[in-house]
Amino acid sequence: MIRSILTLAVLTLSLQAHANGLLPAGTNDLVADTLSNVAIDPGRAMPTEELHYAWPLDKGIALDVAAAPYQAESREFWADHDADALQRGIRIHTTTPAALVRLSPIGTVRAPLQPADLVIERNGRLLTNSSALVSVARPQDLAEGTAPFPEGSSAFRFDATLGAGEFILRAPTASDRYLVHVYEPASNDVLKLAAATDAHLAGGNLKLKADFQRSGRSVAVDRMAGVLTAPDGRSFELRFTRQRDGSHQASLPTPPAAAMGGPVLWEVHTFSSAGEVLRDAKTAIAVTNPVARLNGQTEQLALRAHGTNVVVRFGIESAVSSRLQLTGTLWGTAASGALVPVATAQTANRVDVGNEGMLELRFMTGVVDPAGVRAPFEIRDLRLLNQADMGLLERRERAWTSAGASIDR
Amino acid sequence: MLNRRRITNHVLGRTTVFRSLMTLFFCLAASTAMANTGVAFVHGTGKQTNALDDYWQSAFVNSVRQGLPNQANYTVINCDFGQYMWDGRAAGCLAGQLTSFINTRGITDLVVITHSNGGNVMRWIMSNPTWDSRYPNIISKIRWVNALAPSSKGTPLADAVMAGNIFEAALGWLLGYQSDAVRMQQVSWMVFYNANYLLGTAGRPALPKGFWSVVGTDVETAIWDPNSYCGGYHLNLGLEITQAWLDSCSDGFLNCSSQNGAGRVWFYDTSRMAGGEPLSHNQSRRACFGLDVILRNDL
Repeated sequence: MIRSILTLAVLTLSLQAHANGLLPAGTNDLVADTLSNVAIDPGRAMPTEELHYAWPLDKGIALDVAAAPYQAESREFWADHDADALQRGIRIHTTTPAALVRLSPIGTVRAPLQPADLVIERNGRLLTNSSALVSVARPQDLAEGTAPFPEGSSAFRFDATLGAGEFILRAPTASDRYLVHVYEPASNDVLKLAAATDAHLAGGNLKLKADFQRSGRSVAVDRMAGVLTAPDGRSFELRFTRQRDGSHQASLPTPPAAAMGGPVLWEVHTFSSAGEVLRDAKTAIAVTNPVARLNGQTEQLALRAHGTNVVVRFGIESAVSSRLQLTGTLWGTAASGALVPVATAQTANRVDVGNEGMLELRFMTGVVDPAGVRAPFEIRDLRLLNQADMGLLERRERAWTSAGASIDR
Repeated sequence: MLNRRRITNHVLGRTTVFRSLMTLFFCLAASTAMANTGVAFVHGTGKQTNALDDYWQSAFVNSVRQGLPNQANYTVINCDFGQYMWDGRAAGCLAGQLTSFINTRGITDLVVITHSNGGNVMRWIMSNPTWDSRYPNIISKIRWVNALAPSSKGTPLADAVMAGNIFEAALGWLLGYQSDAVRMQQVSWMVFYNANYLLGTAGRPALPKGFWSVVGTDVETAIWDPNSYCGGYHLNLGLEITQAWLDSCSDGFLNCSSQNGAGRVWFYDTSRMAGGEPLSHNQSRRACFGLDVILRNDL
């Protein structure tokens, strides 16, 4: 239906391109300073034709165009131990009763540990598994769940009546290397980890913040280390420095993106200790080669057709030939005078170096008129992507307003 | 054309009533316009070659499709959802099978039933209509998506599975390879995808078509309770164990906050299931407690 309307409109339109420009980039916007000419192999046959799609948004929908990075909050840690260590006994320090422990064989033998074979020492007393462990899941039990834990994994909780503190876990039958994963969902000892922004452009600056908190207040740590891993296997050591507020920051030049044919994310792993308490946290970020950007030019096409149509072209500057995608949300002026979300439109087309042209967002009458809005219009949450890998090239919270209008926000 | 996206009332009861009225209205409108209704069953994580038997089971599919005017207008998708959602073996395969179904059966009104990660693959298609030239036609045919226990915001269990597993160029995955779909459903990954590639979560533009979630809230396993056996006692027992990593409201694999994280909530299990039973993650793809009949009546 949208295509039919579009065709009709195009047949009757009288083009009067009205040039204006992009709004200045905001502090949260993602905009490339320089372009990279490192092309990405899409690993697939991309469409060759220009595609458009638009759809109306519900009246009253609340949109938040501000990008907010994920903040990890870890109440867990993990460590790997060999068979000798487990036979002698490993120390597990907990901060709250009823810690959840998972044991996964990760060596070459992949020999499972049965919880029934474990011995726990607490406050100098030797306890059998039946008196120290609850909610026991044997390897055959975990295998029945949906979560694909490594084969041979088992899990249990320490009995809450044993309290918190140091436990010694012995596995006399251990014959492999094992991952020991300890999770304390009710703990007040939390390692928080976040990147300054979720999406990064290669060649920029990547900043990370880690904060070990106890009951909401930063505490001094004995160790704060980390590693950034790319999906193609590259890894980069993170060096954290303590800040005045007690948190830790790390920064490094953003490395070149990995060619994955899709938006496979990078991971940040952080390892910390404060006294006996261990915490490990991880989060995910995106890294994109900035192969193209908006060049600042825009044109609004005046369509002499029934109903309200808002068609805006955005100029492109590209250092490689690829297929680019542009998505934006149209806001219009309601009877109250307030700007309200109206519709979302997306377009994609091939862009060739030296003849980049423009990408056109089409908000036709079929998606605009139901909202009952009028000019001034504004396009927000504008995103430019490289469909070769869906790398996010540019993201603007506010991108365009209808020419010469004063926008009541 | 009826559009459930116009519903603005999120209150569960009213939404349910409104949805029922919309369904009735749609049936009337569809019969007038001679719509040809079809239903597609889209599985969750994993590679399927016989999802009818291995993932859904015939009793469920055959019960649901009784709601079709033409009961032959159904398809059971078999793709590799062990891959990232955008992968040609995932969304590409799904787009191919849906396009073939639409064209072969002349479907003009498509109801899509997804389970778990299948909801994410459908959201990829509906959120990125220009990624693949087949997507616009598929979206235009969709009436709505009924998302059974969708993993819209990932699951802490994916994080737990990946805990300690770091990719190093020299060593590969330290703890062994996990499927890309598991990696993708880590909570931090889904936060990024929801913020940048998938629509329908709070604060983001809505999807082009309705995405209605059915939320499983608990796992009940008691050896004396026959309800615990629907879908398989041992499978439910495994899900009860994994609840230890999840919130108090979960279906054993997904927190309720993930299942209701995109689109709109159609209903929470206990409000509609026979006897007020909860649906474990395993039971939300089975003919348990009348779920199949509710889906049948929605067609």
